[in-house]
Amino acid sequence: MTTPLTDSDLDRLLGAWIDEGPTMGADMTLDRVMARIPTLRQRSRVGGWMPHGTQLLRTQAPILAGLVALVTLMGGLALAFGIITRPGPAPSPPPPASAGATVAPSASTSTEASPVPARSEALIAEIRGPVPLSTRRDWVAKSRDPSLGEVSRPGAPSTSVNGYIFTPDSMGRWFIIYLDPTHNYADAATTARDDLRVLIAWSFWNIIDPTLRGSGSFSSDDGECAITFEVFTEAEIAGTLDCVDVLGRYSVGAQGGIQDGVIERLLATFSFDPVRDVFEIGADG
Amino acid sequence: MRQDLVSRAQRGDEGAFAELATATIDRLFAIAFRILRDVDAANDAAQETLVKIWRELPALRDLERFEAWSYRILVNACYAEQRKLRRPPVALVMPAPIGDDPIGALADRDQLERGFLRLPPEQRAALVLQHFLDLSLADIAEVMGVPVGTVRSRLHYAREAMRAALEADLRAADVRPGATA
Repeated sequence: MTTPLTDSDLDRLLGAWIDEGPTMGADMTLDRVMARIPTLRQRSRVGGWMPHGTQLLRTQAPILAGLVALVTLMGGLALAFGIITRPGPAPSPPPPASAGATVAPSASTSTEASPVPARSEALIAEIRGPVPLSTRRDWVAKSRDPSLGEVSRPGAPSTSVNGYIFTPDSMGRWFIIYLDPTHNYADAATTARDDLRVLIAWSFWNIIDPTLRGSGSFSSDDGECAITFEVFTEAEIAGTLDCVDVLGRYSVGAQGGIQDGVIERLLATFSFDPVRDVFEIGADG
Repeated sequence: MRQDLVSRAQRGDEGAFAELATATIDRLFAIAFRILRDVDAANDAAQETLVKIWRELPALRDLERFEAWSYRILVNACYAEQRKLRRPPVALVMPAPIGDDPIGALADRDQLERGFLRLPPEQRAALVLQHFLDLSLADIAEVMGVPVGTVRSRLHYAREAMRAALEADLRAADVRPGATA
């Protein structure tokens, strides 16, 4: 009759068996890695390091397109069901676009941000100002609902928070940016920051003022991650994208993804850091 | 020393990264092999891991967590490699027998190999992190990016599956003589 394995027998067998096997890889693996690395990072204008834009674009374009669709869907549903309420009055209409409205390129980090158009300043004030703490707490409660999914919070690998970011559109309506929890934004969550910034900056470009132009940069609070951006007119973007949805301008790449080089054109931000100021409001109240 | 290399590599020092890669690649390969049981796939996973480390190192805030961070990248690279593997993985090694009974040990090894290859990659990774790296449950959870309870559950199911694989072999050995009588 067979005697069942004891736990210690099983551990001993498993441990011995797992310890077996090669402990050295092929030398060529290291050579291949070293051959690949010079092209993988590109020094940005602000002196920080960032992923090569084209590579980032190639790897993230399908994800961005999917997220964009989710944003549109969830935002629409939330509004339709009254989940999200309008927090305050809509900002004043934008000034007419002109060459004089162009924001001068910045060679600095966010601490020396580009001049911010008045309309954006008003909107930023609206974002920061009138949202009651109870509302923010409600966001946190919603965002921590496990039925809504969760992702690891950038910068904190072991802390799972939420998959939602709340942003206002130019009409004062609040939109949800949903981070797909089935997508591993980074193998280590710390590395999610670049992806997240791209997504958020891109969304902000869309919802705040598509007539803005210019360029600038922002960096992470520790100065380690920097992104330069340029803002183009909607027409310029539309000429490059496969599809720009009339209503939300959220639908991109329906015919094959975002084309190479477009991501840099979509990166836009204003005098605040969307990740720090918006994401963390949503996460921490 | 290691942290200094990480710090310099983070700032874009390719020489420092080369040193770091040289110092870590065998370890990464060894772990990947144990999860994937395939030499080529393990080399690919180690390569992808190092490339990703280089690319994403600037976003790592806590340099002391570099090791756990790199293991996490590696485990995910192994998952990706596992998805690419269409043929059954083959371990190209014939190490020394386990224990004093060479024949029984070979049978055990065969059953362990078969049982292990039937496990989902997440359970394999948990077993390897526990037995090969001797990580605690909390550390495994950090590397795998899941709660400790999930790690415990994965380890439980993996161990039971491995136990079943070994005991099935023992039962077959019990039945075999009667069948030929």
